[in-house]
Amino acid sequence: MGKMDNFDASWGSPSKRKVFATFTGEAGEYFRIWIVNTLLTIVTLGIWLAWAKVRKRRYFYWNTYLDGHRFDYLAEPKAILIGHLLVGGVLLASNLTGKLSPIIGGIVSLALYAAVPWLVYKSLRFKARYSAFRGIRFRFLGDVRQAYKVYAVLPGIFAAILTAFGIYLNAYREEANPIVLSIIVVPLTLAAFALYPYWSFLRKRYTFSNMAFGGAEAVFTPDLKAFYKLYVKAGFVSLGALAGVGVIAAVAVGLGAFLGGDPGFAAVPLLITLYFLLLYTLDQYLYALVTNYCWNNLEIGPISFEVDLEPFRLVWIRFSNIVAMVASLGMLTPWAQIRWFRYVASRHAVLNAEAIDEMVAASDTDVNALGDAAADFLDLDVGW
Amino acid sequence: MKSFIANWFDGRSARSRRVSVESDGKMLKLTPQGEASSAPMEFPLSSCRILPPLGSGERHIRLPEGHGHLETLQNATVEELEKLIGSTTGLHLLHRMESRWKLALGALAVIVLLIALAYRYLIPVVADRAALLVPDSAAQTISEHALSQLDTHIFKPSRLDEWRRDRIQRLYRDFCVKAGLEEPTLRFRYWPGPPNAFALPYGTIVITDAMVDFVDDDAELLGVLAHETAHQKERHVLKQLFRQMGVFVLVSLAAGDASSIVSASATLPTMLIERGYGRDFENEADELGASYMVKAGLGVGPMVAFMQKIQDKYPDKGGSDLLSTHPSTIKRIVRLKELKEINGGR
Repeated sequence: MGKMDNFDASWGSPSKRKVFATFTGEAGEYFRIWIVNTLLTIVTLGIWLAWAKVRKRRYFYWNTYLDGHRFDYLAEPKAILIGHLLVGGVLLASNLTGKLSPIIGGIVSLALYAAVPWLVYKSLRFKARYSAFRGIRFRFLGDVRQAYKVYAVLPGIFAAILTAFGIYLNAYREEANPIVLSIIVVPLTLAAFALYPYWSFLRKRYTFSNMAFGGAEAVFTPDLKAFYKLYVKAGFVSLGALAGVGVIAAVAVGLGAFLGGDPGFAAVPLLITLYFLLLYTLDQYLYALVTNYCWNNLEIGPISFEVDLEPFRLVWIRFSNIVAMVASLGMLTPWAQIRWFRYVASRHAVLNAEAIDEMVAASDTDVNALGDAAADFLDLDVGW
Repeated sequence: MKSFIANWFDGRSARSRRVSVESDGKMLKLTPQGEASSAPMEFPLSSCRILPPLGSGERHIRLPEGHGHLETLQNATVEELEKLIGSTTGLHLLHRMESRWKLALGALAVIVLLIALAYRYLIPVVADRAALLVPDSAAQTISEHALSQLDTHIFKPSRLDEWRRDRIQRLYRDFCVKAGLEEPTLRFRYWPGPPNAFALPYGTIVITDAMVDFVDDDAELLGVLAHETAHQKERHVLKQLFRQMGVFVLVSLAAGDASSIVSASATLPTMLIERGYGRDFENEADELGASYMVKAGLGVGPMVAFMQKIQDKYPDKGGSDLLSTHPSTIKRIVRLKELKEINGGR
């Protein structure tokens, strides 16, 4: 980490000024916003959720500063409300038809799965279009066809194989041949593990290489081999961590049982819970590696990035956040969100920050792009 | 005349420009600073949008489409301007609530109260009404579907002798006539687990072979069937289903758009609430079942004896009532004994 510059330091190297993002949100302030908007959501039977969402998201955007300027969230609650109603209605309808007629229900849920890539595409567009910095909107340039290639092909193949396997199992429940089963299950599991990094690579390439800030389009050429290296590293470290904690836990339980008998036994459920929690939070390790890699290989016009998330730090933050949230019956959720975001933001830096001044919006038409906003209400938290 | 200094972003370039802003309450006048060549601009204030405050950061004013926006830290002046033009919306009130700890904690108290009220009164009433509105044909379809699922995945055909099943069918028919009940279909199934009997959403009661073997006599068996008949008659399964949907909606509302972790940690309270409803239904089925037994002339005694036996064979630690779907066996025995006393010790 170069420590030569900070965002208000004008004396840095004139050619490539490095600027860290800073997050000024505060847990107490955000707690009050969170709780008041939750009350309004309950009282309005969910209608306020769209307004609450915009308000909470805008709080995060408005408190994220880069080089003295903050990000802006432009989405209108009414558009999000329409999206909520539409998605909620479709899900409710599919749920009800599924209860009344399994066949129609099956067709409806198949159609819903088929729509997922389109939904991902839509929400990526939404997120980019309604995010802005210094008055310039972000854009997402990917198209639906690419979305289907990325989000439908590989998962579709796996879903088809699994469905066929399920039908086979159902048909020969008792008589299923263990050799046939292992011939199917083992390669399928191995293939899933072997192909997952590739799928992740496709997703990240789709989301990052199609980003644009105003008229500046992203250049992102990830290396598949590098992705596999990240996944192998994360896999080994996660397995090692789990094994280590498992051994410590086993020794602790054994020692407890040997010394006192009962107290050691009482600790078992607690240890098991902590173990699964660790399993659940280790995804942050991978998140850190992948995020660092993607941002460090991204260029948007004259801008490049330096992101340095410490994987274990992130795992610890997520782990302690969950413990705090559960122990406080959810009351520490705002604190946890602020804490996670503050750390992540503080590890993002922009190189060549002075060049941002010269960046411009895509075109005059894009400035007036609110025209088709009504069609852009699909804001789902997917894809990133 | 209100005036303040702001950063102006024109929406075309990412460059920020210092402007001094003046307003008389009708027009908004921007004078770029430090650039001699830029002429002042004027916009009618009615076509600008002063975004409501959020947190403690800069205020944000959107200029008419195509002219970008202003950001300023001179929040007090912006507030005076808003007062001047009387544009304090509901969102300002919201900001005031969000800014005060007392009001925020008040909101928290109201949320807790609303959840408690919804749990105790709103969800049961609405869900139970909804369960009664489900047409018989739909309930029957759901029941048949559920049973066929259970048959393929869990149950095997009953291994009881046919004469034994016929005898129980006759006993049950006789019981229903005496208790003045419409008779549900009784189905026998083999299941390797502990003795069990349950009601489907509509018109059917399933009893496992193990249960038939477990009871000491016909009266005890009828006691078990009386309890299940009460579940069936009161549509407890459908009511439970609708109450679960209600709890799901309630938890979703309370958890909002929180991340998946929060939803995961919300499953525990959801489970607790649902199990609470389960205990309500069990108690109701015990009371109603006991009344059927009294009507049929068998008395509550066989139900007490059966529960005692369950307690002996599958002891209940009596402790955490909160976590189980059924009330503790001990509590059920106490209540059934009370009902027995009311019925003159029978």
